[in-house]
Amino acid sequence: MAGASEGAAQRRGVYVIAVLAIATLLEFVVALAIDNTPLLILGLSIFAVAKAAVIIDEFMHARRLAPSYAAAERAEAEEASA
Amino acid sequence: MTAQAPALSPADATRQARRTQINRFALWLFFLSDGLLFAILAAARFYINGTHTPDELNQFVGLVITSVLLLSSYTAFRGETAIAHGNIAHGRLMLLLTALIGAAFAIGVGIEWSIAEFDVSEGYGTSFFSMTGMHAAHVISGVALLLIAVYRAGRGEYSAQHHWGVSAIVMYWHFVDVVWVFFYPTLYLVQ
Repeated sequence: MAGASEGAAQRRGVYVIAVLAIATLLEFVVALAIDNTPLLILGLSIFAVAKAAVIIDEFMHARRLAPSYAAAERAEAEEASA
Repeated sequence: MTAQAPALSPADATRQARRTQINRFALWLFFLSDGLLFAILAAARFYINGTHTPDELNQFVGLVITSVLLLSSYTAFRGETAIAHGNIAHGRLMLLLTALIGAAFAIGVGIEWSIAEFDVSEGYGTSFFSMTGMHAAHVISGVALLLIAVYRAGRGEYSAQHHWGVSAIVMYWHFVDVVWVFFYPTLYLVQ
């Protein structure tokens, strides 16, 4: 479960937060630059969905809901306690 | 002096892993139901006001509190990762920092409320205060949960093998962040 070393995992977190920060800044700039409301809503929706997807996947570990992860988690727990 | 998590038998370890999987699934169901509540609030904003956003809304404060909340997601991630690797002291520090940044976000929302030049009785004000208020209530409960996690980590109740409590609280924190990812453009950026 721990998978990567702590240093590697923390570095990945840095990349993720950098992407989110840049996306937020771009989102703000796009909102200032676009006057067309439907186009603005489309652009902001794309930014919001993309940012949410990154957080859900990278920070909330949505992949851990997968049955394959659950099986690996049980095997690792058994191995660690043996 | 801190208590150490006892070693588990293989059967107990398997049972605990299964329980964690069930807990994780239940937590996601909670996110789904709570997310629907926030989605209804966002839909109501457009139903009541269309895409109108008051010019006097302070965009600078909006961007700052959004950045602050994003930063807190990073420190929360650091805290959970550290504890998952057995680095409890660093994990506690990061979780405490997350709670402080979360409190700063709530204060930022309070400042935004105090300087808002629209009233709760106006259409946009109704949406703005209900959406930010409901979200801030989640932030405040998240801060309380983070402080509980910091306390429990200090008592030695978490380890690299046993830290579901921290993971759940940090996931909740990220969920609150995801909600704001949608609320920020809905309240501030749509024109």
